Amino acid sequence: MNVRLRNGAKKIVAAVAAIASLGAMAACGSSTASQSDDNTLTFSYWDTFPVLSEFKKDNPDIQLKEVKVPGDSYNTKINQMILGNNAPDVMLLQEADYVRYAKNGVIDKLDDKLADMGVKTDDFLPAIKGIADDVDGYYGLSQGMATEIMYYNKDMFDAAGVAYPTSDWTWDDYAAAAQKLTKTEGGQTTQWGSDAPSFNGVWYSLAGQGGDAVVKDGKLSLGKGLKAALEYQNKMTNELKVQPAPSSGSKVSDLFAAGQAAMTLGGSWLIANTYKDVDFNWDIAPMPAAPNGQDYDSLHTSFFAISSSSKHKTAAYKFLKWMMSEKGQVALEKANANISPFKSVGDKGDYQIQGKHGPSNWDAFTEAAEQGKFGYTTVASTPTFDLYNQINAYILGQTSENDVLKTAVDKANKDIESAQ
Amino acid sequence: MSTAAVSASRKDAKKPKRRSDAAAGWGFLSPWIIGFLLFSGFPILFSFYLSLTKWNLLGKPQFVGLQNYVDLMSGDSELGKTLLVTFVFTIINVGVSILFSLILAMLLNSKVRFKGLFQFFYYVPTIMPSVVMAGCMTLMFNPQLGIVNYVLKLIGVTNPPNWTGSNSLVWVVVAYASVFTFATGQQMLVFSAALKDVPTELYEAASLDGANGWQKFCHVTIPGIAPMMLFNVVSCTVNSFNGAFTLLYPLTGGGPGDATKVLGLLIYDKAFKSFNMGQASALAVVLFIIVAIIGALQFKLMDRK
Repeated sequence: MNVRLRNGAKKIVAAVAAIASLGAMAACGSSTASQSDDNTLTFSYWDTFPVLSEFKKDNPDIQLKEVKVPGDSYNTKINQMILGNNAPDVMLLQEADYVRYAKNGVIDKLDDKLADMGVKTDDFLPAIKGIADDVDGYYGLSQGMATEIMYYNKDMFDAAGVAYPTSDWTWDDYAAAAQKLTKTEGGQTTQWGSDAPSFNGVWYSLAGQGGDAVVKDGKLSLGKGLKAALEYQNKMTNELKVQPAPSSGSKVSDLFAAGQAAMTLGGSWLIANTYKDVDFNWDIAPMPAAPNGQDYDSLHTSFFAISSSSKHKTAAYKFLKWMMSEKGQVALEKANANISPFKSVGDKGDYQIQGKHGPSNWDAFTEAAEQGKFGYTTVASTPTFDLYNQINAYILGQTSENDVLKTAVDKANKDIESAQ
Repeated sequence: MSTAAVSASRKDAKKPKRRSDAAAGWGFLSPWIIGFLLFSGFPILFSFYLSLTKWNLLGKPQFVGLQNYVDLMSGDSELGKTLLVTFVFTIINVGVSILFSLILAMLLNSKVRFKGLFQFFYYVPTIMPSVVMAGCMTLMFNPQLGIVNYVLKLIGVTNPPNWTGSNSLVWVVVAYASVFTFATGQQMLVFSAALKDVPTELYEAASLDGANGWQKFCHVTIPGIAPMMLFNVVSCTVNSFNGAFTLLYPLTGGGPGDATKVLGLLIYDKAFKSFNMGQASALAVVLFIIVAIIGALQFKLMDRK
């Protein structure tokens, strides 16, 4: 009797296990897309997106569903959602994805809707118009832009009696100042004139300053500019020894923030996060220009784009309209410390997040935004990162200049091509 | 009563009953079988198919035949170098991991006070995400700010090395990091259990024969834990082929140059950063075959024992 009961229970448990696992599989495949009505809207972003509460307050009729994904897996996740015909109505997209999706017809062209949304294209910074020309229209709208600039430690400049950088500094001025700012003791460097460019974007900015187009027709266009940049950085690291050799791996250390390097080149986001609380006086300046080169720095942004398969386009337009309105743009500037793509909004300076001991030269930021271009960020990221690894290998003496300029650039372009 | 019921049910146990028992058995197995078919079996088969296509993760895959494999075999392919790096990594990772897990397990089996505390400290790195561990390592081995070079300078080394910037020294960092991985902690537990199963009489007999500590280790301990040793080597080898990515991606990013670019990193880059799913799948098939061969060889070896 007992055994029979146990047998029955066993079968029930087995059946439940089978059904539950099948059910779980079915649930995995089911769509999470909302019904076709214009009061709901899904919006995807990575990590955090701070101004949504203000949007909700102004648009109580729209029920906003947030698709929040950790930064590392965002691109993969969104790609999978698109493949599964389950794309969010509005997606925040990085440059490379934006270009790829625009070219593959995954996101809507917005040119006809710009006037309705109150977007004045004349007011856009030059780089925004540039990327629109590249992909043949506005497939998304930039939420705000980060630039690359130069940072310097004022206390170290004062102590060494070196004049602060100006906007007409060249690479040579930077090198000369770095020499004066480098201190050694018993064969050990105790203070570096400059930190090594540990952010790959800086290398593409240097190549651009040296005269390269950086990206042309969807491929890397690097030559004499990169050659000049390689020789300049090699001189700084290995001849003058005023900046440390690069190392590989994730960047968890920052010599400038640690108060061990007098100057560094990096993204403008460092102002509001890494350098905000440092306990020395510092300021920013435009990146020094290459001799006989051109003004160039790499811009960084992300775009609001509307999925072509969205069933909630009216709500999506309302969302973009709010984000691109002056109110939305100012809120975004304050939250992200990025400058608005609209010149009229950017000039008001709401993006300026003042740290404890700097910066004051905000004109450097505006100048960088105006002369900046969307370059290496518009192509697939691995090839540009691989090339950066090879550039570092050259500085470390592990590969030749010619190998970088020919073999590594060609390989990167081959990879970029097969990614399209 | 219950004995009577059992004998009655035995009498009843004819064919239909046995069939329903089998059904219950399958029912219990079904979560695993369905999970395997959907989440492992199907993706494996599908990646074989994808390796014959060109697909940028948008639109439909285009069939290109063996083109991806032809590209892999061509002169300018990264496959050869990447395979070499993968083997170097595997040897270092498995060697370090097995050695340290065995040493730690032996320490845990010695008679010391606060053994639980030691066990806790030895095992803690195992539950730490490898991304966090790799972050600590990059900071520790940072040439300018890291504690390793700080100590080296204190003891009088004038030009401490650029650890992760050197093609050879980067492997020292990788080997050191391998000590603190999930695999090492797991294997320590397995070894620890295996060591407890070695009969103490054997040690006593060896002592009577005048064997010293090293001789006892070589002739009693090692043969006693050999099956578990083989198990650990197999699982660690497969794991380091497949799991190299989680350790190396944050630790070195494949650099300097492409000195530590293992197959796992290359596959990830090709698939999700370069959107070249066809070639990534072809590489995954290569990895699958290599791991399958190594696994089969090691199991053969295990059978012989």
